[in-house]
Amino acid sequence: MMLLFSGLLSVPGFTPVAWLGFVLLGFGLLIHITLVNVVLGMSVIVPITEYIGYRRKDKDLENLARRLFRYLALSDLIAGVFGTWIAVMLAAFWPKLLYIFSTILLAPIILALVGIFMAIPAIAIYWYGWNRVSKKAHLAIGGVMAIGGLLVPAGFRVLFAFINNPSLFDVTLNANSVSGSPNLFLLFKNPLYVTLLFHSWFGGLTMSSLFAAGAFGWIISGKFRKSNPQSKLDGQFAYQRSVLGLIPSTWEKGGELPNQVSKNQNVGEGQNEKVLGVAVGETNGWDAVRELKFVRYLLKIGLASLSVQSATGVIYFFVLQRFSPYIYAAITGNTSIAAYSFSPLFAVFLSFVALIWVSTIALYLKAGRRNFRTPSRWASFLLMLSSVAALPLGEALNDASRTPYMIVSGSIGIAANNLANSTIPITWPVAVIAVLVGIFTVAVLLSTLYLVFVRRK
Amino acid sequence: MKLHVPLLLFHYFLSVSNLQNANAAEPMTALGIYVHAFFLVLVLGLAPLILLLEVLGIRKKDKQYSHGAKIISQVWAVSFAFGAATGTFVEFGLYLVWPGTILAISSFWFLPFLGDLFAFMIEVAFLVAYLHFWDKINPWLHWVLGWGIMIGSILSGVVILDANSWLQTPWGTGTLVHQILPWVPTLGPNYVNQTAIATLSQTAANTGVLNLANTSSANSLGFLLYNPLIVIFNPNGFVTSAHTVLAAIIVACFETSAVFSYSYLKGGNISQRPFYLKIMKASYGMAAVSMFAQAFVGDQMARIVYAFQKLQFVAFEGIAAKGGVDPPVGLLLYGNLSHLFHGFDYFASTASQSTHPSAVTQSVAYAQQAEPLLHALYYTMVFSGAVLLIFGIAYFGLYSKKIDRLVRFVTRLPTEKFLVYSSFVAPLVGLAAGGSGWAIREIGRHPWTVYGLIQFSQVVTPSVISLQFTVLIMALELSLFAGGLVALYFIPTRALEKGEEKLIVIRG
Repeated sequence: MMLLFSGLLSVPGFTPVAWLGFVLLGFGLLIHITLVNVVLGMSVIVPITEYIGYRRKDKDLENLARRLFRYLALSDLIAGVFGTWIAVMLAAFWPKLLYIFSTILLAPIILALVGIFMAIPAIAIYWYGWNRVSKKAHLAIGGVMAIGGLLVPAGFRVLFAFINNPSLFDVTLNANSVSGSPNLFLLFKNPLYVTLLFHSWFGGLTMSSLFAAGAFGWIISGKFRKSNPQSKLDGQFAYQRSVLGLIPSTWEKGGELPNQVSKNQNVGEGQNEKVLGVAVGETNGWDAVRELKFVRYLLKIGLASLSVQSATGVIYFFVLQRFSPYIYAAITGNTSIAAYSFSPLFAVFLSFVALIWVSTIALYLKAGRRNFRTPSRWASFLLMLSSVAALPLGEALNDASRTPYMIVSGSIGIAANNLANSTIPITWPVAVIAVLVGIFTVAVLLSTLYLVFVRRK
Repeated sequence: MKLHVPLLLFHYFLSVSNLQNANAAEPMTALGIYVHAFFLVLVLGLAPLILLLEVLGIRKKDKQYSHGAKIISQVWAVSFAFGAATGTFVEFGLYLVWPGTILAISSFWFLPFLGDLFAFMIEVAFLVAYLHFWDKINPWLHWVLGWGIMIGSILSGVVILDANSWLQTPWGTGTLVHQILPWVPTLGPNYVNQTAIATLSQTAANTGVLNLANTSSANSLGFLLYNPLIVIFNPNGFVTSAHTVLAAIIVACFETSAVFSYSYLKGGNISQRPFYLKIMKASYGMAAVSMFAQAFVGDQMARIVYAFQKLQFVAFEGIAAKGGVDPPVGLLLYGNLSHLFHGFDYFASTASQSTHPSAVTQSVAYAQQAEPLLHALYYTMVFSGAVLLIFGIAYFGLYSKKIDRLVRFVTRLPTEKFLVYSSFVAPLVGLAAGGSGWAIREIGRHPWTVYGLIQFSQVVTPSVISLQFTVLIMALELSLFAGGLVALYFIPTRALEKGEEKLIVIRG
């Protein structure tokens, strides 16, 4: 068992402590970053949605804001746990790196902390204040929540920009240390930081809006399929089903249009929609037309932010080429500069980005206003999968491509081995126990959350 | 290559303002820890009470006990949330304000760090499950979920207290500290690289620990610690953990009894008054029983301090500089009322036996300077403890006619009424005892972060801590505290007044 673990865990060029620290830190970081992107995205989308709903007097959008808030709250809970995970792993395995961050980059960390401590109470007050404080006050609290959410990456992305190229902060790097005091006034001229920051902001918006759109699409198509077993959900129009007499009995409501459709002008105008309104209207408290409206709304946000996100992604690629050549070489497979090639991982990442585009457009076309169809189950599933997978994949690619360095500048860096905690013997049994206990606790936590929030036992 | 500029800066600060910086950083750190501790006391201390009430509810088929457990679990949840938020604050405070601590001693805190993380995750999982599954699963199974929270919270508390205890008595360093501070006995078996630790300690004294951030310097030290497990076998850690967990139970249970006594006296729904009284008695009872255990553990704690931190002992007992007798303590420790205890003069004279005489004189000077404060804090703690012990004895007037008669004789009140009224005093006294005890522990360690090895001014941030920054952080800490108090008041109060629909239930 120990030998097997040693084999799995040991990597040439890494000391056991560096490798274990890298695996444990990376694991927590990927989960944390994925979830904080949901928090970031939803912190912006939720108050904006509430505001639009308030301005248009559209109760559906307010209802959507409330439902999306649940994603935010749950994600924040787990993200908080994994934030602690990262802090502990940095202190236990990477004290020198933590020291560099906490002394040289004190100001940006404090900025991120201000964001965290703005967002946490704002989230709590926003939730408890719903329908208890005036709408304007509630929206103002939502604004604080959004600003807090945006400040967190504004602070922490400085750290990532720093380890990608400290020389842009007017400090120099050699094999053992970082020398100099950083000039943080150069921050906004630092292309790595600026592109990373925009990439993070729009990444959060893209991921959360598209994941939620996919989830709503999945739920709608699932309910349709459950109530209409004959249907294979092969893209048939809902109205065709109704015309062909395939309307599920539970959805028949005496031919009346649901109030929701006739009252709400945002739902659409076409005759098809009215028929769909009969077909998949309000049933047992569930309103398919309203849910489709949500899908459409979220896809619009998602498409807009995905466009910006993709553009910043391309810019970031070229910024890396110029300002962080080691990472660029690792990503593009140039092993004459980089020690390892991560081009296969880059290809997988690009495939997921392409998949996001394809599934978003496919779903958007199907849920489009004049082409009111049941969302494709496959497109919904692929959208959820790709939107949630692309972001950590991109992050993993960016971080792993520094290997074997932890901080790179040009084509040199400080090796992870040198920054790892060298003052304690981490033997393989200790490593195995740490990993097993970690797996056990994460499994307990995630199983509980699954039972409580997904299965709703 | 070295960390040129920061090192130069650090030299400057070390010679000019590192001590000022450390002094400026201390109030906000201390306040942050107290705010954090306030919520943690509830998380730690309410666990056994909730489990007791729940099991009484199941065994006796008494819904009032179950209802009480349910309401108190709301306080548990709110305290946990604020404990986590304030914990993040304290954690970042440690990393940002005292960054050298991590750099110098992360090896010794390695296991406590990982243990705390895993315990925290277990706590979150079981807390979510516990709140969600009320009345949804077999009550015994639900009770077992509560045990998950209690084990997680106690484990988390114990490992953090182990980390703190290692700062008080760096267990596993053998004779290393004795060589510097001759009154310190051998601190367990030697599991450290004494040469490397001595170099670290000397480097810290000369330039601060910043040099460790240079990877070649750090790596040249080699291993500092050969056995990470030694930190959790520290006798100070065992006793501190027991003492602190018991203190948390006592304070949390007395606080609970105060809330239910208030509801009882306030009247409100008459039919609810027996319920308030029943839960008050249960929580008071748990605090009373814990007080007896605390009397024993507190004595052990004092013996640990006497054995390992004699300067602190001399300071809080107020023994004269030339030495003197302290009859009760002499009796307890040596069975001799007239035992002569050494004073500061004796300890100062040991400088000649030290490898770092200046460390001896500095330590003695700090202890002498802090003596009036430590003495006052110590007797606040002792008298508070004595008052709580009397309350604990009075509780048994509910079951013993003799004690009831004694309570009536002294207070002119029947035991039950005495418990109701004393509930309002007890939590304040408990907080005074706990707060004083922790202050003695931390102030008594001055000027050391790691006793005998690393001083607090050697691990503080090189960035200047301004007064404005300190005030801002303290204001934030107080805001968090106020927010927590408001939540702690409103959530259970609404549940008490408006019924179970106002309870926090984690819904899927």
